[in-house]
Amino acid sequence: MRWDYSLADLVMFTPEVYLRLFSRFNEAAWPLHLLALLGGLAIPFLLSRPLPLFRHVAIVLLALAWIYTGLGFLLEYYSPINWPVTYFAYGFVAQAMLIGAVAGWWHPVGRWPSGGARAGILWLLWLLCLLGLPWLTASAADSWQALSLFAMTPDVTVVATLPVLLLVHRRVRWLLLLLPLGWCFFSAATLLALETAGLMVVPALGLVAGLVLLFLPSWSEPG
Amino acid sequence: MANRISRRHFLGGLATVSLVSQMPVLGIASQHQRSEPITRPIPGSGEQLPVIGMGTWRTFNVGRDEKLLTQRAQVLKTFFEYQGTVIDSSPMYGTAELALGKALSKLGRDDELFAATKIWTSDTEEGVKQAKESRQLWGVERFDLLQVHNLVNWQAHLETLKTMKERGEVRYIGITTSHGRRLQEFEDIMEREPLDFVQLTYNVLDRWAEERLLPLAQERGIAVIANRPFQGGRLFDRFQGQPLPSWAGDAGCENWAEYFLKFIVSHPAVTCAIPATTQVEHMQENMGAQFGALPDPGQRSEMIRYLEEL
Repeated sequence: MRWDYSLADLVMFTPEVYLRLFSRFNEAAWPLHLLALLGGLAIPFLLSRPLPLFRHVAIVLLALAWIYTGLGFLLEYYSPINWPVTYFAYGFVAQAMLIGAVAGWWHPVGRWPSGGARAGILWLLWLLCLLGLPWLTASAADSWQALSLFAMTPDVTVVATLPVLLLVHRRVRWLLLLLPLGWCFFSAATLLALETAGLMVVPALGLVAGLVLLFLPSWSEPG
Repeated sequence: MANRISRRHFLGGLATVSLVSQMPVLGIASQHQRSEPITRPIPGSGEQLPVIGMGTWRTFNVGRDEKLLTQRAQVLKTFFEYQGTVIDSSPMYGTAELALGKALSKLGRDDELFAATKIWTSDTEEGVKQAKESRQLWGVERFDLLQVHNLVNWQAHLETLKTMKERGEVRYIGITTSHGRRLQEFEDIMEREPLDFVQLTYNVLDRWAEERLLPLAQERGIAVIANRPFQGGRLFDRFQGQPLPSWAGDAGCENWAEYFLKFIVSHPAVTCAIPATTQVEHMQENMGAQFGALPDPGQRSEMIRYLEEL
């Protein structure tokens, strides 16, 4: 028996087809990008308000981001060329419900820090996810139309969720990290197989950050 | 045989841009249209097949991307222009069969397409449904060749395929492997089952099939389709920057694609090789390998030695 499979042999599409997913999806989804961006910017603001209702709204927005990414990008565009993605698509919807149930109701998410180093780090991470990471796919595709935006595409949505999970009590956080970690592993392996090392940065970052989050205490502010 | 594009359709359908950009190659293409391609008989029937076919692994899985569907149709058009007939796919390759069907429908078809696909499921009943679904995706009335993919549930699927062949629902049946998996089992099946075709990995660096499987195919009168002729593109990664040997022209090789492909199809047991590509230019190079001279046994040895020394 000879076995000389490489990871690349298990991926059934080319980098060109993968990168075209983003421009095709963006073209079809316009102008929802504006809503996604506004919603993305609103989440930290809402989480920083003292009234719990605002934080619940933020959690709903985050859950919607997962649902739209799952049913839109993953199920409609990505799963036809990569069948395991079908399961992840439904997983994203389940994750949205889990976020709502755990961070919205069971152990409500804490307040986004209003000042100090922690607030600075969280805002930096959030803005990086919202405005910086989306350009990696655009750069690889050599087309700004291939932006991978929060609330629309999976890697950035998953990584952007991690700062919010840092505000959830550590005791239940692991529940909300299972799917993000699974997705980041799957996505990183796929991008490695496609030999698109630059794009691997996002899920690899998510994988490392998600593992660290398993052990970090909550960064939320009292109130 | 299923259908194949007519020359009238091909010439009529060429876009201006591609006409301008491909003028020199079209000259070569029309030479090849006038030439007779190298063919090999299917041992079981004597039917002749051109020695270069087309695989679809990775290359035709483009989802519902209209731009890429159009581009892949252009690749397929080039394949037909160079008198290619054998196209191989699988339900495993995502939307490849859907893309193929759309491209075939767009191009128009005639009776020269040799349509080959696979059954890839562990469920016996699902295998029958899969074959039917593949027919619908390709838009063919029946497949020329149905194969059990990578020996998945081969006992049950082979019985299904035998029955389908008896009923005239498929013309030839076979089994496939790649990467050298389950070789002993593959050999056992070749020895005792009435196969028309086997598909296996064979290229200038992966030559393990020469030891037992290729001689056995000759002995048993089984046609051989060679997959992974470029090692999934790795042969180009390794050697494309290197010069061809000075004697390559004598062996009928004008470029690396012909070098790799002619090595494969010059083995007397091989019926055809099925390279896959997303590029029209690469398709033209690949198809060049089914015209002109083939290396003789001495040149084949030199081809191996040259690569080993690089």
